[in-house]
Amino acid sequence: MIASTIENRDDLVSYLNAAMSLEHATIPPYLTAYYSIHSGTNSDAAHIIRVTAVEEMLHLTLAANVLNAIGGKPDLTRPGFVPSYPAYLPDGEDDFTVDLRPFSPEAVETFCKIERPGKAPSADSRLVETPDSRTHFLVSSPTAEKMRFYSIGEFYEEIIEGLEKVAANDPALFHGDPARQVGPEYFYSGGGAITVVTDLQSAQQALRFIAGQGEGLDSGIYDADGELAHYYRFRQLQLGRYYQVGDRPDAPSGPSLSISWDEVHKVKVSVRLADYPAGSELARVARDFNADYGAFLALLTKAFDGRPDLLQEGVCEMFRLRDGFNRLVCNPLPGSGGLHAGPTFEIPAGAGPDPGVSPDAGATDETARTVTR
Amino acid sequence: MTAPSFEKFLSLSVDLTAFEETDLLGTGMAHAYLAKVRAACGDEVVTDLLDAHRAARADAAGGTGSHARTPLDRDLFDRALRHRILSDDRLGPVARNVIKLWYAGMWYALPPEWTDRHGARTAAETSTVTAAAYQEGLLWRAIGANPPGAKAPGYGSWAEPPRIADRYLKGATR
Amino acid sequence: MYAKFPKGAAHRTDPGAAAEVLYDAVVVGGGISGALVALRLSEAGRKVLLLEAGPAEDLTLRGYERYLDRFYSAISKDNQAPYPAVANAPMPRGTDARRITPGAPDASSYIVQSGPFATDTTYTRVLGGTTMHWEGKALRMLPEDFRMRTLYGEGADWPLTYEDLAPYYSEAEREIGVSADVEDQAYLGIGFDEDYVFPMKGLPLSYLDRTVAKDVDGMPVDLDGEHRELRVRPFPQGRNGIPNPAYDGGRGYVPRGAVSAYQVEVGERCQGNNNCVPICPVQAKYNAGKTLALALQSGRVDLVAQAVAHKVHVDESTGRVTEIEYRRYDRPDSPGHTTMRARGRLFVLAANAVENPRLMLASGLRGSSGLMGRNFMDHAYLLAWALLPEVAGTFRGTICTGGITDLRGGRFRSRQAAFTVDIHNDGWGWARGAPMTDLIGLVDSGGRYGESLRQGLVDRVSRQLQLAFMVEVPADPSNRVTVSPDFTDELGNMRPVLSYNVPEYTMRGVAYARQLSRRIFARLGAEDHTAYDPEFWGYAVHDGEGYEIRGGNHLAGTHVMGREPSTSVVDADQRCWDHENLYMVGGGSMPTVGTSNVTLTLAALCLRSVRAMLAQLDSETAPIEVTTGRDQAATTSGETAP
Repeated sequence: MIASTIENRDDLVSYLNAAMSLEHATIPPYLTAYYSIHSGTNSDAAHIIRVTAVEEMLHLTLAANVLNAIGGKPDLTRPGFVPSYPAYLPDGEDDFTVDLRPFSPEAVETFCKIERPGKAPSADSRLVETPDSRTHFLVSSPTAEKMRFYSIGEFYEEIIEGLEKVAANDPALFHGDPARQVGPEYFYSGGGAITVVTDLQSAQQALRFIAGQGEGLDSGIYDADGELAHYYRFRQLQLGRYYQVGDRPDAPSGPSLSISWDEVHKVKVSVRLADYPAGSELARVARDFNADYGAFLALLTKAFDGRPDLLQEGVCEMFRLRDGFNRLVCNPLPGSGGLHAGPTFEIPAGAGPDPGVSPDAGATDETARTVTR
Repeated sequence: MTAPSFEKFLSLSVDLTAFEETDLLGTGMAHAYLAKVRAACGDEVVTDLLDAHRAARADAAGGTGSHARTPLDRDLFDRALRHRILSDDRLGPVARNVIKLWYAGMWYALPPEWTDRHGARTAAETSTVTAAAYQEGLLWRAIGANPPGAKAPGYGSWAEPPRIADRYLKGATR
Repeated sequence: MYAKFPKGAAHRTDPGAAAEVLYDAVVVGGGISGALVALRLSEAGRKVLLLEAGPAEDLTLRGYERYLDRFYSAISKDNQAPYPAVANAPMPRGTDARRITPGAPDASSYIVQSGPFATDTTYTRVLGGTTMHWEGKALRMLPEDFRMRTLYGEGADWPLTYEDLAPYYSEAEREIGVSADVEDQAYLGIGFDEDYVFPMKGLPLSYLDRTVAKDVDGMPVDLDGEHRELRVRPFPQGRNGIPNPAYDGGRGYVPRGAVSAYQVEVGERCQGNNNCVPICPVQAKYNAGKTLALALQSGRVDLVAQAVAHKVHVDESTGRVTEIEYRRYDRPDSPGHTTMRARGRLFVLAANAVENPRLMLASGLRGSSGLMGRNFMDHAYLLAWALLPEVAGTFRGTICTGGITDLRGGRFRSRQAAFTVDIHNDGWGWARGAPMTDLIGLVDSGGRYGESLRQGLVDRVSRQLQLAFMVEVPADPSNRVTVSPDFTDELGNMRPVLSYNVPEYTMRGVAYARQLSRRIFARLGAEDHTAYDPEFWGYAVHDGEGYEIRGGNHLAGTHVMGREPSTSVVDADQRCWDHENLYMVGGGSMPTVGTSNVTLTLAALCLRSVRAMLAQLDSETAPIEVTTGRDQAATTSGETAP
């Protein structure tokens, strides 16, 4: 086994910041696929993707709770928190990019890869070397240079082990203000409840939940709460049938589900602001969306900074973003051969409502190391 | 006769609704609405309506012809629309129906005096366009609300003041 | 957590095989009453057959979305718009209401209306019943509502007190999942157990409510020597809010989301769709499908849908019900059907306060008291509408979040009816079809387009305030449901014939409501736009003033409960005096409706009656006589006959 990459509290903070960035990074791709679906069609697929996206929000919140519990300061407004798409995620042997794609077999394939159960072949292969040519890694090690994780599951396993190690040497590790924790009254999602993190046990529980909800526990298709793991939800879209309790991974036996791949707005893959006609009304709308999204991240940052009650407003903001998202994807993108517009998630600097309150410098440095651009 | 132009229909719709082109396209309904108007009224009426709208813009642009770029004289334009379209017994009811179509997502039957003179088509009866059309009604955005049963605003949002642009609040505030 | 509807449960019971089973209970109706009874009996290990008149489909999210799609596509978005009209199990529709010409019953729609007063009251005949379209207001009745005759000399006394029912109210609030705060709901004698909290925290008042409250809170009202000050108060709601961690002694509450045969995560919290009636798009609002799903999970509840009860058969010597004959249609769109029978130890009619007496009367069972079908009650709604001086953001929130409840009780009830006042978040929708009618008016006759239209809509719609006065209607034996062989439906079932008039007592409350609305509008500085149309189907004149009266779909009274067989149809357990193994449950048992929407109360009554049903099942160990005598062996086992 290679040496742990987590030695102390600062390493943990770096990792948890990276975890939040990772959890968030999956949301724009899911939302792009979800909102590209024509209104009133593809109900099965729409629900599956929507719920997964909502649960990624839960994961983001859980990671924030762990970070807050060890005295960290979550910041979703720092430069680079939102990756530049296409971005890379690891999958062991063949790297793949995560694009912002309309609902399509390719998108589902990517989602399966993101959520794929990924236990490294052996304990010493959890971390693999980063090829020089690839730069946009989401799950790179924030502390070991040029190393990235075999899978998201292994990434969380590293943090869970690191927490144990650091907590053993630092009895005051969980000194964060409990008032900064997001409790169940503030977060309300389909699958899984929020865990308030106050000690090693609850911290590990929160992180195991994240990993388990993504890919299932011990290669089972359901997580600890009896919820179908994300990977298997997406597999249902590939296999055309819902799972039922007792099913084997390759043979779901529940009701069939129907998909019409054509009932989709053909959003340009990983569209950028540069693709929009300069000075056009549409370009302005796309920029406004990014600014609104930036404001949403700023609101979440406030919520994770001692104002958990703001999450209720955050949900309403998400609904408003939904409407803006829907409008964009209905607009044809001029000069793109009939493709449609979509949000670019290029978040303008200073999108936060409180430019005066700057996040602590340490976090920003960590970011720079975490998400190499 | 060539089919009525989608771009001209969009331009007419922007002026009749006071919503931007991206908003109208953003409903995903624009093509279906033009098809509905054509089916209900016939291409000749629609083409004449679009031509009248072009002419009204030209009137307000000072007759230069390049209506798209020249800033419009709003008062002149309003007058031109009233004279050329809204008061026209053939084009007026159709224009009003186009407005209602965008705002309600519903095609309302044309008045009987219109169908008596210009012909009744089955598509002219009151009908919904698609299930999505109701949800895309601009009426709801105009009043800072969601179409009941769709586009939910989120738990507790109703306790906050409505999000209606300030320019519409004047005169209605104490 | 979603409510898992067992896959195939709507089809898994073969009616032919079921006919050979002696069930512990046969329940007619898959609405909230039937679902609650089936759930509790099955939890106690009892085997239940549930007959549902509506179409047979597993409840799935996809099926629910077909309701939604039908709603979106409908031209008329009335409270039945989402639900399929099935000629074999027809249902009344609000748009059916017509003025009634004296002496000429209106038979143009399912309920034959004899008048003299026409009503637009409705109920929904699909799996889940009228809770599919109910608004979700879940008010408890006042203690004084149970003692109206004694206290005020009006209406009737119940054979139960508020205190008797209180524990079942709590149980019903759990089952429905009610969001409210005790501090808002303890008034006019409504008591709660110490430390009681509702399952979920109260939903916030709307901005419109708050705008009204700024002026109305503290408004003095003197009536019959009693002084009170009005306040805008939140209503308890049968929809998911934020779970109260203090619920159930700190164990908390887990909201129940959408019903489906496969895993879904929808409906765990209200999103403010402002469409509770006719359909909550996300099932954050309770519907009886959630309870049915649980009941069916037990494996002890057999469901046969497309099964319209036709006749209750009674053993003439004992008065006991022997079987229910029903007509099972093969397809919703054709009248082809098979006559089937259902047998049980107990029979439970849970079809609602119109269908329950309709079935009894169609079976020739008029009741020894002669009260079967009589004392039909509903709430009489009076609407008053105005424009507020400021933009209040109308058309946001649930249909109704708050209102005025201070005139629900008091000495004035010896003279005039009490009422609850709803502030409608959907503006003048109910009264005048807003906002579509406003749009049409502004465009067609207001010359508005573009910016002036947008301005006009804000001025005209976002300031709307509609008060809905829900006025109590006391029992009156001449208000009644009957049947006649002259009026039958596609399956040959006799249709309900309704005779209804609004009592003077109610009209005095209506007149007072109108006066109060004027005072409220004046206090708000609002422009009163209320005008009652003499051509309206529900136009009623009182003391020279005319009013538009609408129905509330709060059906009650038609198999009234009481202490004496001579003055009631059922006892306090909702058991028929004439038929010891027959329970008629639901609103029909209520002697008064007070000023509460009836669902919560009838749910509490059903939960209470289940105790009596279980006790009766336990005590009646001896096999009962069955008419055919062929399968005596099955009578004690409840299993299929050999």
